[in-house]
Amino acid sequence: MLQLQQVQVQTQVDSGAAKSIVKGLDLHVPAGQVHVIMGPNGSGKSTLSRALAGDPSYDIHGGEALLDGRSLLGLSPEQRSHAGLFLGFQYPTEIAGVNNIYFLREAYNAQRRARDEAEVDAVDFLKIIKPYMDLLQMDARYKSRAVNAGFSGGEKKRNEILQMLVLQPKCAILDETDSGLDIDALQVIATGVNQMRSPERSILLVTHYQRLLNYIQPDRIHVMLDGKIVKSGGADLALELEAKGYAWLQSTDKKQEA
Amino acid sequence: MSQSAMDKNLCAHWQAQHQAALQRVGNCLLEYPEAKVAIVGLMARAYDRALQLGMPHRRLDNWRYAARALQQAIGTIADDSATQIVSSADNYFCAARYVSVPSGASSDKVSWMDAEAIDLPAGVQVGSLASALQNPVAAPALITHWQQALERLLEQPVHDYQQHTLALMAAASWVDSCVIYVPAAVHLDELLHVQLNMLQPTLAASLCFVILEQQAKAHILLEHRAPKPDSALQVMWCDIACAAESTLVHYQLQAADSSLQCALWSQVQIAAQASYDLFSAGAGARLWRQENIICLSAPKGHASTTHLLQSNADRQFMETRCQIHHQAPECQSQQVWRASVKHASQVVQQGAVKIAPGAATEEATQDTAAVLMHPAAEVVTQPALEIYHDSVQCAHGATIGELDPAALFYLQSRGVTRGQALQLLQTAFAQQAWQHWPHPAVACYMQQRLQHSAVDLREQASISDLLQEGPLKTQDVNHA
Repeated sequence: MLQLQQVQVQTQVDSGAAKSIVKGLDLHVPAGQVHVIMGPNGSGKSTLSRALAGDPSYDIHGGEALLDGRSLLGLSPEQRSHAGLFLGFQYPTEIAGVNNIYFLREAYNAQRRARDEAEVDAVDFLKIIKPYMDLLQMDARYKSRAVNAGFSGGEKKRNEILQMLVLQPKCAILDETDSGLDIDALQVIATGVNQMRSPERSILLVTHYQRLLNYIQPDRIHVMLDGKIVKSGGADLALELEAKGYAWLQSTDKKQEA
Repeated sequence: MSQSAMDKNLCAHWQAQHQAALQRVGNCLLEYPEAKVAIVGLMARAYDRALQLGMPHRRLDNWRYAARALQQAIGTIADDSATQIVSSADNYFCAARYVSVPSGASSDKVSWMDAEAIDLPAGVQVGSLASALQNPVAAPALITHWQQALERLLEQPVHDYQQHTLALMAAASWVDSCVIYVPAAVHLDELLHVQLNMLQPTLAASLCFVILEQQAKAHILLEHRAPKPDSALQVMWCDIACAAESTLVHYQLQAADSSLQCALWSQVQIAAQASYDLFSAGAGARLWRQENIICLSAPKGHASTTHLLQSNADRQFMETRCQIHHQAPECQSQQVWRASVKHASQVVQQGAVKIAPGAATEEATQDTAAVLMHPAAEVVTQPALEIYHDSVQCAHGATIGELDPAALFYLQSRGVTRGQALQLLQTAFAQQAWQHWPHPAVACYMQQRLQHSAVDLREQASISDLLQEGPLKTQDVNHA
């Protein structure tokens, strides 16, 4: 479903020079699977996620990124969304003045228009989102609030998962969706993510910690260091990282380079 | 091409459009030789004056000069031809102005009433200037106010005032007019929605009088509509008088097509303990200017203005100039201005608070904010305080910011197109102003109109009857 081949991502620093962040990354997340990317701060996990979603701050200047066989490169952010890509932001943007549910309906209808399907009106849309809001334990107040404005950390993450559930993407990239969550909120979020698991969908989780994986069973774990995947393995890899930290892999990586 | 050459071309373009439009609508005034000479002459003088002093978008005061030249030229029309002109012009005149109170869903705060069903309290006048003169309650007050307004417009005394001259002056300058008169101690609890349709796609001038007598109360929505996307130039004067202890909430909506050139003036006189609140929203035009001059001429008066500008096309020039004059002690004023520029357009704001000697002021504030939503967008903001008294509390603040790219990307990442995302963000910015509108239903209506600035004006059958090519039908629009 999601196939990345030697992806290279750079960004511009203040001096105007280009800084390479992702340096030739290979990753394949087949349909029906949940993969996890773990790694130390600054390894390029969030950069990769945002670059795949089309953040203009980043430039994929090398390699290929395919979603369901279709190249994402050259597509605008909304086109990538229409193609079936969803990014759950690490720090969801607050947008005061834009009604949360109105925006989500606009997004939902934009997706439907891209598929030449009829739009839904406000009444029907509320019926669509209600079961998801119940699943995520979001009460009716969220309908009248602005997008992420004044939301707590947990509320923002629930809102991200709500959007994912409503938009039903082919591939969801969830960037540190567990950060800032208490145990109860974590379970709710995990329930929402597990709801999305299906043979036609791939999910890529980005996380620092193993605890999320207590609730979402991954099929594969990848460790990212300095812009590349340096190790991949099964669920046990997360436990190994929890015990040894990333320094273990960093020293291993240096030995291999030498 | 040099600046002056471009200005000449633009002026010539307007004049040509103006001439053609007069012929097209069959202005009956052109049947009278003296009127034709006067009209054509005053047109030429107005444009020459405009050119001499610099084009409006470069010399801001020039709009006023052009308009005054028009008004002064009107006074030269000989009285012996006036009666003839008035008798036929009155038919044209009545038909040319339309007052409607559209029907629609009611909210808990606003009640929209069908024009035929309107049931105004006794003495309240909503209608044309000519019809207002037939109203025994409104006419005396109107004549007084009209004279005062005229003198303000001409900046000279008006002698030997005659009733028919009033209609003549209005008609001879193709003026459509609207009078809203509320007698003393009458409260208009329901909002009055007046649509002012500029039926002539030409240099059309329109007058609106709003007169509130002592302790009167009213909420008014004045909506300016242009029927033709290729209209040359519209000029609108609005003269408002709030007598002692009266309260006026004035909504003003201009959602014209982007090809229009438009100038809106309003002069407001606020008496002792009277209150005036203006909520104005506009989508602009190719060249658009709005000027509000508000005089707190007696103690304990209150004035507030909230302007919201949303450019909706490329190469627009939009300008607002708001002056609040504190001429008496213990008055309060607030000015709020918000603008979002979504295209390669320019928006200018000049706000001034002028405090005269002896006018100890409790509060006078200015708050301006603008967001640039296009790399070539430009905003110029110039708040000003001119203070000639020691005991005042005045404050002003101005900010201009750019679009938040993170917000734009977030919206697009969910599948919303860039255009839709910009619209959402523009609306979100405008919410800072909309939330202060006292009537949420009015805010909702005005937002919808701004978002659909090029909407087909035939959406309402009652208006579409008037929007026809050729001679206008005669209608009695006196709703008193």
